[in-house]
Amino acid sequence: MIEFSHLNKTFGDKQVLKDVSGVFERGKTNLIIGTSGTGKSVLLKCLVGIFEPDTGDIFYDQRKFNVESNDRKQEIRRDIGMLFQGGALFDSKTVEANVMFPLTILAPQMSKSERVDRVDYCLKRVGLEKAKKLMPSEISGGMAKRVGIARAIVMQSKYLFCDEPNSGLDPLTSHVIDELIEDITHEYNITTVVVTHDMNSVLEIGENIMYMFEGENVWQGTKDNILQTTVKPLQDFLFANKLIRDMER
Amino acid sequence: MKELGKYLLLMGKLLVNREKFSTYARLIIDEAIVIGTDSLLIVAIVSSFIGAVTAVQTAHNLYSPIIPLETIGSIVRDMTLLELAPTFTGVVLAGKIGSNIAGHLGSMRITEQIDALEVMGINSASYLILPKIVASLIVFPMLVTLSAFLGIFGGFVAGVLTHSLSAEQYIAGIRDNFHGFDIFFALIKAFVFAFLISSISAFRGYYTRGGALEIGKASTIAVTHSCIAVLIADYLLAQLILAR
Ligand SMILES: Nc1ncnc2c1ncn2[C@@H]1O[C@H](COP(=O)(O)OP(=O)(O)OP(=O)(O)O)[C@@H](O)[C@H]1O
Ligand SMILES: [Mg+2]
Repeated sequence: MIEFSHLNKTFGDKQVLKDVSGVFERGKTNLIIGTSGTGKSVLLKCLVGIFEPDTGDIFYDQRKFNVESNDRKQEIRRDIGMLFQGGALFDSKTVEANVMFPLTILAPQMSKSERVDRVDYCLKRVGLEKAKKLMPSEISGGMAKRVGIARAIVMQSKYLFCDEPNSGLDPLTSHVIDELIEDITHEYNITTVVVTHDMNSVLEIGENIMYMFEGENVWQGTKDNILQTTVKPLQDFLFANKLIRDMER
Repeated sequence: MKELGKYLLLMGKLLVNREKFSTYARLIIDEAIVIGTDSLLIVAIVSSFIGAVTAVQTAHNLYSPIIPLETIGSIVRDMTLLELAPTFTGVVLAGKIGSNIAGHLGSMRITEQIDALEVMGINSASYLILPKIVASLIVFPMLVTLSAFLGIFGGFVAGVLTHSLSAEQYIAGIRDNFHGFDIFFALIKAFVFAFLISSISAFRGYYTRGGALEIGKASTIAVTHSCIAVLIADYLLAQLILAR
């Protein structure tokens, strides 16, 4: 479980996050949705520590994350896996080496053969055991995202973050990725946070949804009650996605 | 001024929370091989020609019955060691290696590879930049040594081919009144230039923001700033060390 409260983040004189609070639950796929530029990626990056929030607290299962102690931060980070929007694969390494990488750096106690087994297992889990020896430039966007997922789960992370896992993918591949994320979440009982634009994903895997508008958390609910919302910006968002008709607003 | 502060902070960040030494050893060797193979040919060509031109020019300007022809060899040697080999190599490498480093880090930044390292709890600055700087410190002196050798050799070939002087005279000139300190001086320059070029270019690339266009811009600025830094350092070193 990830809890965060009163997060503020300003770039220059632009306040991107405005007093954002929320809870992401364990064993569930937690979604952050919202229009472009409302600060979803910034929130995600604050949560994983790429950005430092100006104020506010973040707790990973009661462990305070944004503390001065670097050791504590490192300790929590080892439990975090993240899938970046474009995959963010290291382009000088093969698919296999990419998935292996976190193990070589963070799990020196593992033997060579244990690592190879773990990597094989993860690549199989995302259906890419045949692509092991390819370079990132030789695989498709959808494959790159699956490699990204394999790399994010290789450390048996307790927290999985995905920034727009299905942007730029066809609906079918997109569906495959959504199912993969949902299965992994339930199978390993981890806390998964997904930023998405895709309404299909919202209605499919949205077990806990947070709607952001202009840097604020304006609505939190589930896929079952999102269509009954009375929050105006969210209604506009759903209307633009043709999920509700004008008269329902 | 703010940029300078940011640069110094980055240099500080290289030294805290590093990974294990063995992790770096591998990376440094890889980087050194890339830097070496990338620039060997261009450094060799430039140096040979510079040496040749110096010899021909000097021969032309010095044509006088009262000055012994050996002097041409001595002049080519001094010019090459003290100035031409280190500085030309520096400028050539600023273009070649500087743009390479800035481009590599810039593309890692905008494709979020640097963020990916950070999320894994790796100090991305030190993991990516330190090996490049150390590899440069190792390879640049080698390249400058090669450059000096080829420069003097280029002068020899040009001098003899144009019948400006005989092979024996050139060699006698090179050996005449030689200061070992000059070699030391060339190597000091190589170290300083290596550090300036690699760190400035890394700084530019590491803080790239935006898209593909910005990577290009970061590379261009990296090369310009590295060249300027090399030339300023060249002047300061000459002042400091030679004007004792
Ligand atoms: N490193 C940064 N420096 C300055 N401003 C930034 C930075 N990162 C993001 N911003 C600003 O923060 C705002 C929110 O950006 P963010 O990337 O979080 O949007 P988003 O909700 O993820 O949008 P999208 O759906 O398009 O990805 C934008 O206005 C952006 O300009
Ligand atoms: Mg985003």
